[in-house]
This record gives sequence, structure tokens and C-alpha cells, in this order.
Amino acid sequence: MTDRRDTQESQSDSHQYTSSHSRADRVRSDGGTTLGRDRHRILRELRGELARHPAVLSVEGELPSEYRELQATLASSWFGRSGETATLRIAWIPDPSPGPEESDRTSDAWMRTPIQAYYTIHYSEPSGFDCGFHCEPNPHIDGLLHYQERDDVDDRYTYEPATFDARSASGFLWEVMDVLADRLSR
Amino acid sequence: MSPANPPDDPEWMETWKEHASAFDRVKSVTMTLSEPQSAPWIAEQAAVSPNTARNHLRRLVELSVVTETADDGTSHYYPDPLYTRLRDIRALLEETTKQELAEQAAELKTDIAAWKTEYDADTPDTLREQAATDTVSAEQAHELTRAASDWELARYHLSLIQDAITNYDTWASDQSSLSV
Repeated sequence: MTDRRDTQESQSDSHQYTSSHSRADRVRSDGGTTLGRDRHRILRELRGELARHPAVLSVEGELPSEYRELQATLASSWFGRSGETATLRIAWIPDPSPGPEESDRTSDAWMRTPIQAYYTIHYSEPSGFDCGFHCEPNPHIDGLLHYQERDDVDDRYTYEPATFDARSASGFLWEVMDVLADRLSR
Repeated sequence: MSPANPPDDPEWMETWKEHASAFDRVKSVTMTLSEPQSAPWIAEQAAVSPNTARNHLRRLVELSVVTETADDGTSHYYPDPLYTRLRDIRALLEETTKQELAEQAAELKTDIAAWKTEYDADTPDTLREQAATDTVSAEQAHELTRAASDWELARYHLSLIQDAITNYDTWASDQSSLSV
């Protein structure tokens, strides 16, 4: 099961974007880019942090060695849930460009997300229940960072704003896992 | 970190401290940076004292894992790009045969060709420029940015594979030639 439905349903909203600066100078002469390298580096580090977490049974990049996304297998019992295992999908796009206009960075769009990245951390159970924290435009809710949940794949998601304190990607992952545990134990 | 935990440490930080050492937390915070940061900033995010962070960062600099730059008299730290590149190449050499590397390179080139066709663009920068135009909605901008990022990731990975293939016979047979 995936959380693709909500993104497929995405429609335009009122946010307007502008490029903050040219990325041309970030292209390396060897054909790689610093943006690609940074995304690879951050996902690799998040993979290591997930492996430390007591709820995580295993974690792999979706594509071996590429780490476009991470996919972890979780022990459901750690969250007080029935069933043996659940999955956690993590996507991370650091330093998105374009982001919201500079004037918007003090607005609600970015106020709830001190880490400037597009990301998805999404939990799914074989029962059909899934939920997650997403930082990306979504027409169903104001701002970028939000929580979404549904009981079954045929249900519609419910959305609500989310806030986090961590300002590093690795700390943020631990905070999300803690908040996720609170959510799942309700 | 002082022996006594600050009373206001949130629960998630306590869990992190329980499962990762101070050194590992400092290293992890630093290795996920998107821009250089100071030792006090890293210390706060890693739940260690500033002096502890400085000590660990100094060691990481000595190991060439992290670079140190001075900005207005204050040291800022950032992952060393050469270290991350050699680490990624080493992982490829350890996990992948030369034939598998060639197959992965072909797949990545196919993906890149598909993006060029789909978006009628020569580089991912073009997608980012398209995403920045006023007429593009937030969702469209997000989708273009995600595609550009996937493309950039593929280009980076392809460059790693090309390095690994070029030097496979030397590096795979003599791992000591890799310094990380």
C-alpha cells in the first residue's frame, strides 16, 4: 500500500514560487551535481539513524545503492499496534528550489517546517491503515508540513497541521518516530 | 554532554541519546547538513555541550570526514565532499560486480534519456527554471522539483559508477588504495 492517492489528487493552490538563485554553478565537471550528492548523503545518513531505532527491523534503499527513497520494516508491536510488521517510506529532497518566495518564508507555509526540504515519512500497515508526515504542497491543507491519515485504502485522507522542533534531518527523524508512536497509540 | 540531562530535553531526544553516542549524534547532524553550521548549532541539535561538539568535530575534521571553514571568525562545519564521494564509491565496489555496475549505468542512462524526452530538457536545471515561473502552480512546481532532484541523483550516481568502473580492477583488488 502506498500514499500515492493524495499526491495524485494534488491540484494547484495559491502558492507562487520563484527561483532564489541559479543552480548552474552547482553542476560538477564530472557530471555529478552537488544537489544529487546531498540528497544521496542525507538519505544514507537517515538510513543509518533508522537502523539505530528500536522499532526498526530492517531498512533498505528502494533501489540498491541509489537511495531515491528508503523503505523500512517496523515492528508493529513497538507502537502498540496489532499485526507483526508495518512499513515506513522515507523520501527526502533537500534544499528545494524553487521554494516559497522569500516573503513567504515567514508565513505559515514555512513556519511549521524549520528544515527546508520536501519530504515524506509515511507509515503503512497490511490492514490498510496508513498515515504520515508530509512536507510538500497539498491542496487539502494550508502550509507544507502536515499529517495525513486514513483507515483503509478506499477511505479519504484526513489532514491536519503538524509542527516539529528539530532543525537537523537526523534529529527530525527521531522526533517523527516519537510523534508517530503517540499517534498510533491513541 | 554534562552528566545531568537538561530537564527540558524532549522525549524523542532522550530516545536518540539512549541509542546513539554523543559522537554518533554529532556526526549524524553534521552529515545531514544542507549548509555549513557552527559548533553551537550542531551541539544543540545533537543534544551535547558546545565543547563536546567541538571536540568531536575536530576529530571528524582530522579524519577528513568534515570540512571546517571560518566565517566572520566563527568555524562552520560541513560534510567533506571528497570523503562522501569516496565512501559512496567504496560501497559500490563492495556491493556490486563490474557487470552489475555496467547494467546500473545503462539503466541510469535510460532514465536520464527518458527525462530529457519527457520534459524536453537537456539538464535538470531546466526543470527547476520551469518550476520557478510564475504561471506554474505549487503542485506543478513540486513535481518538477522532484523530477529535477531524481535526475540530479541519477547523474550523481552515474558519475560514481563511471568512476568505479574505470578504476574497478585497481580499487577492487586493492582496497587499501581507498582511504575511507
